[in-house]
Amino acid sequence: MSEPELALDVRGLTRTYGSRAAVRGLDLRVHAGDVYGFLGPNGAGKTTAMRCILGLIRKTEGTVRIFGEADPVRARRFVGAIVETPAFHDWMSGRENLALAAAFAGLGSDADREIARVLDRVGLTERAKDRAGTYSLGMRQRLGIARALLGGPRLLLLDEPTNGLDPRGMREVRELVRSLALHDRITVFLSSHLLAEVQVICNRVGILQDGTLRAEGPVDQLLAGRAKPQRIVEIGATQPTALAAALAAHPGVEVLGPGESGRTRVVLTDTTPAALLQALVRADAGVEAFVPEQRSLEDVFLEVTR
Amino acid sequence: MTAAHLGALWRAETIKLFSRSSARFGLAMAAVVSLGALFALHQLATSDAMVNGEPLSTLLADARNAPAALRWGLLVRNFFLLRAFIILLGAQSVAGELQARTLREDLLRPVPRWSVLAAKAGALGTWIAASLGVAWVIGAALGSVALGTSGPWAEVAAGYLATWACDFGFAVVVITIALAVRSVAGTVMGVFLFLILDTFLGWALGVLAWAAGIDLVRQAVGTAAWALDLVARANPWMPSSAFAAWKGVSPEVDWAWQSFAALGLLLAVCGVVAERQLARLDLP
Repeated sequence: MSEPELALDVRGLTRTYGSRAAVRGLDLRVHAGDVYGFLGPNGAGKTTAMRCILGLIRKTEGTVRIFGEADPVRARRFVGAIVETPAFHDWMSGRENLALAAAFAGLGSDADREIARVLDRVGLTERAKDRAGTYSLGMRQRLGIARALLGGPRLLLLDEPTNGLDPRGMREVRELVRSLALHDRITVFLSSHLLAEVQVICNRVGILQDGTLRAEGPVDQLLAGRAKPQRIVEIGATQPTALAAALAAHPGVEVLGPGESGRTRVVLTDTTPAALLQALVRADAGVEAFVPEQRSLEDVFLEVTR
Repeated sequence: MTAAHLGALWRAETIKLFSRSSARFGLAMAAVVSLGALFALHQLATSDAMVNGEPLSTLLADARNAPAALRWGLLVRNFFLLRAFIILLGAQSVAGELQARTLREDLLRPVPRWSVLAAKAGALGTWIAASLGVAWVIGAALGSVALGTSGPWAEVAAGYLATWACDFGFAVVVITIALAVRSVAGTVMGVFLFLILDTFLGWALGVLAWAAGIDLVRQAVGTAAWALDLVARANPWMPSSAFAAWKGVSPEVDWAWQSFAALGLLLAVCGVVAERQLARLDLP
């Protein structure tokens, strides 16, 4: 089976400020259809890398290709982007702001239809005639996404798209991004501090620290590969007395007590989950849940960026 | 970058510029200046006032026509009033957009940076043309009714065209300064500093030109007198001379080709410098 097309191919990207390297030899491959989470602590170089990719700031070294196109101006035909908080001409309406962007995107006679489409896509049709200065933060973010979607980009670069939003706004933007990836088949490259959000939305992640990529890969592989052996297990059973007896009799098991769900949490110090489960079944404990605790992306992130 | 795309950028920047309240106020001021000049000329040309024993209406007999009203309007307009709006609009559309980060949003699109600069300059050029057009329409229409249609139409029209060229050159200087200082307040200060330096340099060159004509000075500098002559001839090539190329509209002043050449030179230099600045600029 052939590899999917490379949406973003970054090789040896370096940006220095004097003697300090904000981004150092960054290599990234984002395939068409990916929802790629770009993670890193504050000051890791994420925003600098994204600005270099978009051609907003000059790179010191390296190459950036977007759908095979190395020329930054031509490459931007494939890209829609939000860099931090989107900026608008506040005295103009949402629609007028989009009309300006449509002119810059070179949409010509398709502009009106395209503006109506993206306004509908982000749910802002009703407020399109209002001045952008009167929009809430969440609406501004959605208007920013609408602007990024003008012209039907194949790659969406979103730098902290939920920054500053309340929980409702964060959910709106998250669901919109997920829908764009799933239904519109847009490749998404997303930087965020919200690791739980990234874990839910993204299929691949890269973790940046001190300007270099410290870990990269599919989210599930990264979690599995980086996780320590699954030592903590939550057990739910209909026969608590039989369960307690079986746990006490099984060597290499330490009972931690009830977890938040009310189930019993145990640490497998010298046994395997399979062996314990067999023992519980034999003891007629009425096992109804046997859940090894998963490590989260946050655990991986903290481990990588320690 | 196609011509149609560049045209769309110019139209977008023009719509944006004209939607600014400062741009609309500037156009209103252009209309007020034209009306004011017409009214003043009409009042003076029809008054009974005497100057040096002669009726003012007799002294202004040659100026009782629409082209004269247009010329008066141009003289008042060009006494820095409309240039102040050019400084403000140039600062807002470049430095203001850099500060507000809306320029960054434009440059996320598949457009070369020079085209954005060209569109902004084009929009300012359009606004300048509109301000002159408003003044011309008001002065020509009402002046013809109130003062008559005879007079040097072609000469005055040339003055309006020359004013457009001078103001456009001035706008490109403002854009260049805005890209260098990247703040609206800094641009306003920078332009005033530029004008002050230009004026002082002009005065210094004037003094040198005067000194170059004095034998004692020429003997003192000896073989370097050629340099003194060269510097003395530099004054018509100064930016202040370029910005004043329109002054040939006055009957007392001849059109100076050096001023137009200086204007062309200034435009070329500032255009290249501004393009290079924006090309090298890291956008926040």
